[in-house]
Amino acid sequence: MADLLQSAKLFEVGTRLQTASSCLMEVAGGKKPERDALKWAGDFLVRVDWTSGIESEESVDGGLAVSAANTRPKFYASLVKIGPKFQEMGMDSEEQVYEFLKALYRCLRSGGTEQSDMKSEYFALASELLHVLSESIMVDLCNNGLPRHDRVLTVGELIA
Amino acid sequence: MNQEESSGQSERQWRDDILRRQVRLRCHVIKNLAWNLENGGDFPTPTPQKLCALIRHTVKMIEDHLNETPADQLGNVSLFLCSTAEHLRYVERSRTAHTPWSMIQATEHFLKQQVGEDSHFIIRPQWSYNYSLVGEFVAHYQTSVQSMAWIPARKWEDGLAAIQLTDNKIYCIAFPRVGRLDALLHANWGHELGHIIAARWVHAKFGQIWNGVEDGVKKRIGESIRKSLPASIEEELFKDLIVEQSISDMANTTMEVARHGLTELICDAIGVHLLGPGALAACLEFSAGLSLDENPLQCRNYPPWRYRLHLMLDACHGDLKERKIKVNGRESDYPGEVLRPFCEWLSEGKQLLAHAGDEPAWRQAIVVREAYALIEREWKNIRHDVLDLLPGGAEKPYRLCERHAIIEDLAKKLCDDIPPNEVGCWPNATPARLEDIVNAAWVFKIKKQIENPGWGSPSDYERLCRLALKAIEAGFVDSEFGSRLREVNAT
Repeated sequence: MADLLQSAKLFEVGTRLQTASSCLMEVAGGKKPERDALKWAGDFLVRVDWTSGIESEESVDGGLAVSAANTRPKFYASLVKIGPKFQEMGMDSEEQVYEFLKALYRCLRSGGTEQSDMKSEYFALASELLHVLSESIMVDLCNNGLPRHDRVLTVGELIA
Repeated sequence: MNQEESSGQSERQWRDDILRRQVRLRCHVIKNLAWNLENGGDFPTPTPQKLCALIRHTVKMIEDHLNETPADQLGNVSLFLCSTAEHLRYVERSRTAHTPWSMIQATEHFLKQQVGEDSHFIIRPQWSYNYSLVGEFVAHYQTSVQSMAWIPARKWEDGLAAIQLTDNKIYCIAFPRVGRLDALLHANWGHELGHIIAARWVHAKFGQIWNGVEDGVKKRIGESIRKSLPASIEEELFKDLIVEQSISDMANTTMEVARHGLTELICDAIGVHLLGPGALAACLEFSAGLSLDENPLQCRNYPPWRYRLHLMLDACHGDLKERKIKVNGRESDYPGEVLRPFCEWLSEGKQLLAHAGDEPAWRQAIVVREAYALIEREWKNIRHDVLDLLPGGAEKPYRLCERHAIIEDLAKKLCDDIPPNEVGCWPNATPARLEDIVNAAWVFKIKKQIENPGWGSPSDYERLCRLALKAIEAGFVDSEFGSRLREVNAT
């Protein structure tokens, strides 16, 4: 079955992460962000990141568990992808990256109010991480707008 | 502003200019297309029009709030609109001319009986040789709209009420175009219906089951990956992140193999539960030309056919045993002369499917092994829980042995070229049920094939299919309207 709800949930994850990405830049600019968007992203990323070390409040939400597992490989791939930017900011070890992520999760889950561990230059990096992750989810959903033909004999494909 | 920031800014502006115009144009075109289809008529049920109304309403909301749409979300909205436009093809192909219209209303009625009156079905052909179910559309649009923070969700829901779709569900069931009349193979619709129940179970329960095993799966996959890491990984600055990526990728694949595998097995169980050996026979014939032991990783996570058929045969075990049964208080031989060839044909399938006992090759990959360990540990409970979600509950499966006399009666009618739409003789006849007609058609077909190897020409087969389709239509009309007509007649 083409489970439309599961793909809608991934679309939701991609869209909400992009909203949170924009909100982080608003926080950095001293504007009042959409707190719910930041909180949602924080709670979700805590579920996604095995290294977060933060206990998720919704430990039994099954729907989120599946979306989190689907997103996790893309999350680590996004971290690796923006690795050079971590280095540009002087983060030369994984421990420093994990510290950055913990500060980000605290900021997101507080709706943008807890910024004490977020250096000003971290906001742009965090915003980029969320944007790259959102984009990779959307690319996966639509194959970046390209056809998915990968074989000659298509029997049983969903062709109208 | 440095050069990088400046080019980033201009790229955003460039995208914004193009996308805002594109999105506005797409909204306009999709709305018009939906309206034209909705008002084009020629549908066997009102469901295709309902989907058009849902699409039109959603697209109008997007159009009305386009000015408030943030620039960095325009790409996502554009993607959403493209996928929405694709849904209109389900409507276009469900016109009466494309469908076995005589059984559409009866089938939708049967489907609604199992999953509720609030579920609506579009039934349409597809050129690919397969059966499929797509859905659920209302929840899909609701989840997607809710994620667009600039659109007031409440307003969208109010509009849903105006088109009478609040708390309703829409699905699309497809069948192979080249098998349009094949009422026997349409027993696969039981499996497709199972997807609705399976999706409900998966969304409610699977995540919890996965939460319970994920740590163990991650640990074992991690051990396996670390054993085979290339030496060059040590030179990577963020090597732990690279390893986490590989582990999470394999853990996600394990979850998907388990989720998809369970979904298909649940659907098979529901198909057999509702349609009995008729569903098994359709599955046996459908899989005859395919590899029985293919690795799920090579087949988009579908379980191997042999594995599926074994579970279906186990579920039908009681119908294949020769024994004495009571019919109307009198002891009788089961399966008896009429049903015996069909039961023997199914038992033959069971012997052919038995395999040599070694662990099959498809289980060697760690992700498949982990997924199937989870499936096998949980299957018995899951099957029971899922069947209990059906109206009759897990304790009331369709049993050929309990419908023995009815099936014999209907199969004999087919032998006489009479549509098997009622049981007994007029005026003491009762309308036949869709499940009984399908099983009787299978019983007749296998009996004819065994008694007369020359039987089975295209015209023989077409006659059988047309008799079955006619019976399904007449049986439905009689069961729905017969009593009212008799009342009118009496007055």
